[in-house]
Amino acid sequence: MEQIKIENLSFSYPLCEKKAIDNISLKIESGEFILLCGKSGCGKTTLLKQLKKELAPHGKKAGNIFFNGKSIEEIPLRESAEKIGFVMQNPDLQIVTDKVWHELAFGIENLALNKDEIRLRTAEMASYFGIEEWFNNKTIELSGGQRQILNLASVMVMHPDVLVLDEPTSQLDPIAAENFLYTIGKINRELGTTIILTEQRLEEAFTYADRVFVMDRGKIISDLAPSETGKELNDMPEFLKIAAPTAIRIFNKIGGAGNCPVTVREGRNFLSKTNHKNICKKQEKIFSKTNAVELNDIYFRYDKNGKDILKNLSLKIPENSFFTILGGNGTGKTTLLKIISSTLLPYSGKIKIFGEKPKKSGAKIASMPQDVQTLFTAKTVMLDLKEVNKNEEKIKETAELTKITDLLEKHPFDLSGGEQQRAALAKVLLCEPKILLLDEPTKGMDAEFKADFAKIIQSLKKKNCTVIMISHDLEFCAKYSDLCAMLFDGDISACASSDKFFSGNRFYTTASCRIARGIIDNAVTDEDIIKCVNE
Amino acid sequence: MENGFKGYHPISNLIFFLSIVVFGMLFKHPVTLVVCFIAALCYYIRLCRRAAVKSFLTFIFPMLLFVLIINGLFAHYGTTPLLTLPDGNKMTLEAVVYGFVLGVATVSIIMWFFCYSEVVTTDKFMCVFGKIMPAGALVISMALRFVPMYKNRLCTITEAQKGIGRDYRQGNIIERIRNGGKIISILITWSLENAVETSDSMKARGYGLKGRQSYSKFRMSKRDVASIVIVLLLDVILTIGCIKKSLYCIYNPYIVINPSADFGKTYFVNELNLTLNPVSAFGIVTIISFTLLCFLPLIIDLKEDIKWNRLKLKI
Repeated sequence: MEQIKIENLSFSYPLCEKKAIDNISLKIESGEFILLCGKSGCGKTTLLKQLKKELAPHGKKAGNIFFNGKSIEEIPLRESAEKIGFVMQNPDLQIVTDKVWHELAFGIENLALNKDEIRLRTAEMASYFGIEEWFNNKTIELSGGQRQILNLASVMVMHPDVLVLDEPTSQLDPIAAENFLYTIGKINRELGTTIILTEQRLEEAFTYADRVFVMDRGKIISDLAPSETGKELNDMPEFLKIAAPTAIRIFNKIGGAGNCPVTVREGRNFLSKTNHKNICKKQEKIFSKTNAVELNDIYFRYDKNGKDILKNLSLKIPENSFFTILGGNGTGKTTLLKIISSTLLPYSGKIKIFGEKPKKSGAKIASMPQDVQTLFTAKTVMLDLKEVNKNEEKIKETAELTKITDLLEKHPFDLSGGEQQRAALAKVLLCEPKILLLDEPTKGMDAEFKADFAKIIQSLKKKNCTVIMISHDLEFCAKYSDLCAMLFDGDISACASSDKFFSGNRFYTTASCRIARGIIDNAVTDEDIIKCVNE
Repeated sequence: MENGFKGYHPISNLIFFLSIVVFGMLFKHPVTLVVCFIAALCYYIRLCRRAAVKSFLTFIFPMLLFVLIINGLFAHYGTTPLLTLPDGNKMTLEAVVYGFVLGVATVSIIMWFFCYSEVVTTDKFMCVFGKIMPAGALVISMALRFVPMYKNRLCTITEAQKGIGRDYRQGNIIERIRNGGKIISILITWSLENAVETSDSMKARGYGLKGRQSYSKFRMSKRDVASIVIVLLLDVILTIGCIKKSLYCIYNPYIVINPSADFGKTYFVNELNLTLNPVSAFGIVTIISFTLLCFLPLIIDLKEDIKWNRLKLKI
């Protein structure tokens, strides 16, 4: 018998005509790994929350959900809490208590198990998830990746049969995200726990899934195995054509036959059998001779006795370019950005903005933080924008550029995540900066909005604005950025145009580059590969 | 780090500190005062080492002098004038001595509190508190998380605002207050928005079900029970000592040390109005008990140290 059965489920929010979930029926067997994908706002989260009645939002609901043959309405709260685990998007906000061990125990404290059982289970979870080393730490001191693993562990400690995860990796850097997905895969394989996962980053998630549900406008439009899904890609909605793993995208664009490749390895096998050119030729990019930012031998540390965060760092960023700073966590990327904006001052070294000292040059530098909510101060988006720039013309123009014209009268906190990001960008742009600093802007964006975002940046470049971005998103950088620099151990270890940067790297590079290595040289993006095969 | 008395069960720690503070304040006998002071200082130095010595020299010792001087100069009770102050008031022996008693007692208690904060970590406090009030313990645990979190958020907000050219430290006082208000308003809106997700996460993990347990990672062992029994026994003796006034002392209007007794020799120092009665048998028992209580953590720590050294020698 299937573990979860949904029959003709429809749901609409109060005061809303449109159905958030539209007549969905599906069956999930015990031990399956289900990937649910769809663009943001298509009803994924609403559907997931219906599985957990404590979290189900208010609204009009029709149809039935059965869990182990019982209607979900009839399951006692205790069983629902215990058997269906739920992990949400933001790692920070799910943590309740101040200590790691207490957080692990929180769920089973609620289930009122006896002391020895609690002791055993927390110990067991801590060893399984590799938490022993920070078991006695404060939760506030953990990194984002550790926090999300803790959230996962403190759900698993209740021994759930089903684990529901709502975009759990959207706030993590790629390495932490991969580690997290690997752990979920391990739970699925070793414990047989059913996994229902929604994701924006499909590259890795596809390789773990047994079945992929594709959701669009409240409906499930496809329910196939990953490689089957890949084969049918042309009939899928637009977002999936952009977001699907590289191998699948290449397979479809080339019009391949046979089994659709999903992983990099399968992609390489497929590509080597096609007719293709061996070298991808590219035009040299030409950059302006004047430098927007010039750093010479910068040294920086936070404490007098602390260690150097940046040491002997020199960097030139040409005017009107889209420059990306890459690098692992804690290598000092954000610190570097703050040095450029003069929020922090180096203890040795020189900074020049357009050839002059920062204060003298008078060039406006604006930066967009990771948490965009921190920018909103007013009741409506319009008032918020007026705060930085009184010129109505300019506001109108910027609103059109960032596509927020319809949202101007709303409260900034009523907007969805993507809309908030756009509104924040508008506010930053209205400062009319000559240099724009972006701190991981693509975190949590869906593929379609990423493309929009890239267009906005391109149009800024035309308006004589230099864009400097910190990012972990290699695919995005390879596609849109002009120059890439890698920060390692407080210093720039490589700086080159994006094409050269990524084709030179072997591990720290895009999936396309890994697929094409040795088959088509210099190919960095899927477009490069497709171009070389089709000609 | 968690060795010696510090590694004992929270209940054992708490009962000890409660006893020491209560009896440290009740007894005003010179011997107990000195014992209490030495024990507190030794244990404080053992726990915090250099930091303790530093804080003793820069804070605790000056405080002792301060209480002594203030009481000596501004209190004029007592019957034994020592000298006449410029304002015509008399400085009395009783006031100086009582200033000293007060100073030593205060400083000892403060040092015990320093030791307390070193030994009883928040985890330990929560363990005991959770047994008495499970719901309250959770609230405190959440609050302990909120304080640094909001501090971080406040920082993030100021920096973000600075990034778009709004430096909130600029302008005159009224502008600054207005700007500060704005930052707080962002913090509150942001945090309330975020709190919804936290409460969802609590609900999803069964918060609100009946019979919630309060778990703590501490387990009571035999040595913990033994230490609790010892402290309670000493407490009983000391309480009897208090009731029987076996360590009776007064410092006003003249000084009398120990209750008057039928046996032994009583010393009078006439020119200082000082009466020194002999210590009663139970008085001696009380003093020994109090000494034991004061040095209990040090004895436990030393015992462990000696054991370690012996084990090391065997290797």
